[in-house]
Amino acid sequence: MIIPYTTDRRADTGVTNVTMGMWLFIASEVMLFGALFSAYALLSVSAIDWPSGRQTLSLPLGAVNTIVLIQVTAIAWHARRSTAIKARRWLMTASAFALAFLGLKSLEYVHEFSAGLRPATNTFLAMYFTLTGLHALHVIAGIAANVWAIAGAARVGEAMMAGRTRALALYWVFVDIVWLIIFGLMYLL
Amino acid sequence: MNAYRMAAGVVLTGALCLGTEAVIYACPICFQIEDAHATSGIRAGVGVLMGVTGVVLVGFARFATRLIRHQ
Repeated sequence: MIIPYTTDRRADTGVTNVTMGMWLFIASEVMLFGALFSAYALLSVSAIDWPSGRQTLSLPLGAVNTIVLIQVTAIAWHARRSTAIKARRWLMTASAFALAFLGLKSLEYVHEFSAGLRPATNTFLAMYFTLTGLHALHVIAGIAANVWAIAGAARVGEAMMAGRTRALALYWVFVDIVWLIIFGLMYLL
Repeated sequence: MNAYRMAAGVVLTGALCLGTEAVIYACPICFQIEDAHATSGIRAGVGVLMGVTGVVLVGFARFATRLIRHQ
């Protein structure tokens, strides 16, 4: 069965259908993370004593991870203006950086667990593991989407690959913005 | 039978109220205690959620305006 589709920019929406779908998906994701940030604000302001993330977590590891994730977004953003073959290479590089981000995050988790910092330790750590864990799941989903786009690049043609790369670039920008908010709230405050 | 049960309930509740010495803590939000931590926390949480919802709704409104203009 072939589902009819168009890769052209629509006159009424001003964007392609793929980009439109990605914007709607991002809107729903903003509400998901918004609810968790709201819970974080409620719990941290309500608490009489709230631990300092700067003293509890590893700021150097968090800072390096921030740089790595910004690289992922920069590479994915660059890929959207490339040809299908070049975009494939850029997406492979972005995926490698995203894997490095996950590796560093896992290392950070191991350090925290070995130091006795667990979700049950206090409310701050419960929020930290919830937010960073959910964010890491989004990074894994992004890598899976990158691999899917890379695998289909030769088959789907130039126009469709460009649409997919544009949508992926938008997604990585969103994942990066969420991380920057988490980094600011958890590691710097 | 129902009146008997109701009377027993009233007597039991009264006995519990008079017999217990526990301090009852009032909810600071329900009693509108402005300087309580819980009240500030609820304000912050609702503020963040309203801000996020507002940003998403403004995005949808802008998109709807664009669609209407291009019809």
